[in-house]
Amino acid sequence: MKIKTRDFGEILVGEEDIIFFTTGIYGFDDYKKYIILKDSPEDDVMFLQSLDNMDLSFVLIDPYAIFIDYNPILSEDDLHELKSTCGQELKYLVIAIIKDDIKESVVNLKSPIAINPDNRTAKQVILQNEYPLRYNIVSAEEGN
Amino acid sequence: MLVIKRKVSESILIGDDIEIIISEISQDKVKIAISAPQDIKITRKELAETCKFNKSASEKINQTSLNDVKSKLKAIKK
Repeated sequence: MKIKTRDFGEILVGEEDIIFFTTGIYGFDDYKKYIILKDSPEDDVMFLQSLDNMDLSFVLIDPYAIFIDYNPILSEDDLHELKSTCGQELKYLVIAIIKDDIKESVVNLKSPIAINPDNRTAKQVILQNEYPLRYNIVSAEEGN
Repeated sequence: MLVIKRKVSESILIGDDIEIIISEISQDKVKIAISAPQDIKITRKELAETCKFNKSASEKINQTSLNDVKSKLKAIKK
């Protein structure tokens, strides 16, 4: 199917690429269908484009590219909602705020997008872990 | 900021019609019950902050800044 995107114009996607949010991303509850887009396959940076609203898109980053020991712990309710037993098969991506100054660019490690690849169900989960909600992509000293 | 010590089953009142009851305490968690009028919005703080974060994250981004982030992440990998 052809879809309109905010940053990539009109593109062709397969039904099998669509992910379904059980609960919408917080603050955007009405939009449940998204697709993940990448410039190139090896990129750790990707886009979460809404299929319900072409103007809605988020930058997602693979958390392991930034925080190697990332080990999300989900609540029982969230695991149940994602039809997952232990969370091990889930994929995690974090939402980023990209600022002109890279030192001000942050990711939300506390509330990642958890995706169950088996049924393509997703949810923005608030983790049990004490991870920061605003975590700098680059630390101040290496930002230059 | 006001700080008050409470035991299980004790409560505090905020105004006349909001009651916060300490219902259970375990090692690192406290279970609280809140009784408030329907029109009072009760939200976990991290949820409200995530909402706010998402709003900023949905703003259109500058491609150059995004490329900076990409190259920085590639550099970290190597």
